[in-house]
Amino acid sequence: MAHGAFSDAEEFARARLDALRRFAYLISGSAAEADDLAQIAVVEVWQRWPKAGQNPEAYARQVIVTRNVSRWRRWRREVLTDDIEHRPDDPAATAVGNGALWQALQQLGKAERTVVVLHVLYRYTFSEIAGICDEPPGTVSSRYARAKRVLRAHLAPAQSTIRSGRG
Amino acid sequence: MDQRLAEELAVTLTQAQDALPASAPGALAAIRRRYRRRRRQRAGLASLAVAVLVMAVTLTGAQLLRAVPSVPTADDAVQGTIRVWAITQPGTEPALRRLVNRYNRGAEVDVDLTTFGNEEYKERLASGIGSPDGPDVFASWGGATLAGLARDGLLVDLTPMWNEPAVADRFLPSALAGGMVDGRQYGIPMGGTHPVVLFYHKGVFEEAGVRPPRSYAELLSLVETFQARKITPIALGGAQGWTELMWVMYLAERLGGPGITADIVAGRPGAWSKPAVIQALREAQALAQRGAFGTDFATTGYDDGAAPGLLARGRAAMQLMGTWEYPTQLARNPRFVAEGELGFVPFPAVAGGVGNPADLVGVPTHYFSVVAGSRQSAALEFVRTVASDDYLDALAADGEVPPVTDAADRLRGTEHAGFGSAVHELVTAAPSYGLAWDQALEPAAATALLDNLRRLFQAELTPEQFVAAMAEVD
Repeated sequence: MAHGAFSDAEEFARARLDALRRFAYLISGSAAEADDLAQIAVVEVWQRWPKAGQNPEAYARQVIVTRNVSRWRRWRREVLTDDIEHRPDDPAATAVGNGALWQALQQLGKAERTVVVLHVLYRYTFSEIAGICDEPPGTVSSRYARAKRVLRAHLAPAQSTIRSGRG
Repeated sequence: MDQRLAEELAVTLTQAQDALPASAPGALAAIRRRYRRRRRQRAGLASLAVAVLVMAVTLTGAQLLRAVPSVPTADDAVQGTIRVWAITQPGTEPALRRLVNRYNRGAEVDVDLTTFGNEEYKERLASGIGSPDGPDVFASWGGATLAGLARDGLLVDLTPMWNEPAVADRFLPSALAGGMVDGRQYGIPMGGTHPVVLFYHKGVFEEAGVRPPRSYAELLSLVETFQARKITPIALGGAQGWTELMWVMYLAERLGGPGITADIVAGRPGAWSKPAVIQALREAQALAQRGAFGTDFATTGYDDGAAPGLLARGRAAMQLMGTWEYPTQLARNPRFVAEGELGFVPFPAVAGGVGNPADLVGVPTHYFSVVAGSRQSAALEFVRTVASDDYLDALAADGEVPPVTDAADRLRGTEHAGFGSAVHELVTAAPSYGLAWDQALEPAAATALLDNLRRLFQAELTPEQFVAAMAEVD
């Protein structure tokens, strides 16, 4: 996001809320959590607009990543279910081409998942991710390696690879 | 290979993003409300920039109100609708949702159930209870939140339910206790129970010719046994401070009794500087320093399956964890569970401590409370249904262990009834069952607690420095 691209905090929220929700959905894996995290991020950006307004998108993403990791949902029972048809919380489950790969992503730990999303889709370098997650770059790259090992098993057969939707 | 994996991941992630529906109308209005609540909480921080922003927000907020359906008003009383708030569970929430649907088909009063994300929920409760668009019934963990609302006189005293055999007699006394404030009942159990217990790998113990520990001294000697056998004695997902918290909570409870947790949960002054807390911090730090958790615990996670994996593969012998460890292992390492290698025992007794070895720490349950007001009698009527057979059986079918006296009967015949019954036995026998500290505290204090614990376990803080840091947060 260019420096000072938004004239005020309200405009930033109006223009970028859905993008932040999509980002939060990939980071957290849950549509409900995504709404919550995106709201938290916008509130944080608004509160610190003089500073965050320099690059509100980066600030908001940082909030989403940090808050997602520190959430307390582990205190709730997390039962993994095969019943993906009945998970309104996970609209992607029935929408992606490679459902097995998405499920594998869903079952990664938060830390691994975050690295995969930031590196693969959002093209952050490991050292940038290390900065966002406040962790040593070595930890980030070993997380990525571990995630890749798990995810490789869920690659579709080579001939049926779908062309990138991003063009 | 890597290239193709990266490409397919990018495609899948993009498709997943696109599957997310657009935000609901009124999403920005919800953010403005949150922002204003937060701002009220931090009124001291007002700066010129913030003031200008609030003006802009208020103006557009007023414009938006015309487009957004208005919030339900006092008409509800006439139409007979009560609002119920609860915490969103992963996936759907069959038991509570089904209860509400059934209720709405039968009763004259309609129940409008709204659920919230975990973090937002604490904020919501702080500002929403007693406000015009607040709930008539809400779920909570008990703890500081419930106590504050009850002492402010916002809640209906449910103590008379003790005289209703169909309600109060069903629940375990330890579960009811978590819904009490100053000796009065303000919350009725409405969810499953999740105590923290010591899991162990039966095969690894057998090979070493040892039994799971009954005392802390036995645990310390087992640490040496397994170290000599080049097995990490205790798996710890120390990248996440709450796994470390379990050790400190249990040690403090065993040493100082249930009053320790009660004081911390209630936010009483001096709660952190009690000798039992300092001693517990010392013991936990000493465990880490003598290598009981191995050398990599600070970078090992729980949510990512790393710590459970160590136990499942026999690389570690034990793990202190909430009873969600069982479904976690079932999902990640099904053979480990199927082969009967996953065992558990209560946290061991600590010699010289005043705590009862049968006492538990964890998440006793969630509670429903009723807000005082014009709809309170309709709300009370609905709350009674969480003690109904239908609802309790639905909880058991969902794999939860409802904190009721006859849980064993209800679990019978359900999947994994064996594990559920064993958990139920522990909970039944527990004289006290304390709420996990991070769950009981306000969000900011909980975050500070977990950060400080990670530093304590890595010897960056002494127990005394930890106590001083926590006293500042309070």
